Amino acid sequence: MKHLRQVVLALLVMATGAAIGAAASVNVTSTTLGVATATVPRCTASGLSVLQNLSAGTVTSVTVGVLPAACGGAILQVTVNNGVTSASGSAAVPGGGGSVTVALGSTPAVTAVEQTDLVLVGP
Amino acid sequence: MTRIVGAVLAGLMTFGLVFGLAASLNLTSDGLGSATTVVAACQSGTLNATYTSTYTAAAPGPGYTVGTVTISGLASTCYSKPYKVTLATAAGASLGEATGTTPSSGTTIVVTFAPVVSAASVTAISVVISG
Repeated sequence: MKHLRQVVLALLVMATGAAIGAAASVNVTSTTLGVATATVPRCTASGLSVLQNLSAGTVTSVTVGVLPAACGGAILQVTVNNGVTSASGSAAVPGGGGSVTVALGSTPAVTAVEQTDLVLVGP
Repeated sequence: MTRIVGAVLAGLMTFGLVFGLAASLNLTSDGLGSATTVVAACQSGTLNATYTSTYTAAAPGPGYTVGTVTISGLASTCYSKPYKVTLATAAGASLGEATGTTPSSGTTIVVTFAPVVSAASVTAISVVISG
């Protein structure tokens, strides 16, 4: 009988301990969370040649050269801004690179404050 | 007599010290529960960002700017969830942030940046999809 009481007491202690352990835990769920960062690469860090093609005092097109093969397939966009107006055009870079002549949508007059901007999108 | 007084004083000092220590500790505790769960991404497939560049004469130009980023490769498991896209410099400085909710169909997210961002400065892109 004494032994039985000890067993019952031990079981009670174990049950109490289990209950305390359960009370210390919490339930948690989570929504999804995805994060990613990528670099935006450049197909070239080298200098490119830029040549304005003129006609009767206006810029009709721009030739961009020294394009490496890594830029092949990119879209080259060029804008000439003469301080009064701007004209833009775009062309695809050949697979092997090289040079590309971009025809402008209009022909801005040649001025002393012209600025030529270009961007390569892709490949 | 002197010894008795000394013993009493010593006893008072000892108990005084004990009471002093006991009085300096006040401790309460909030509850503490712990659990672990996995924070998963809504898809494992690769997303790809492409850029639409436009010439802008005004600031941040004159020059080419990025106003739209198209992110392709969206899986259906990421539909209708909040997103944030950040364009940044090589040093990690934010150039612009755009937020929105992913579409409920299709595989692309069209992200618009207003104001536009200088294309020449963009060297990193970060995407967060949560929910």
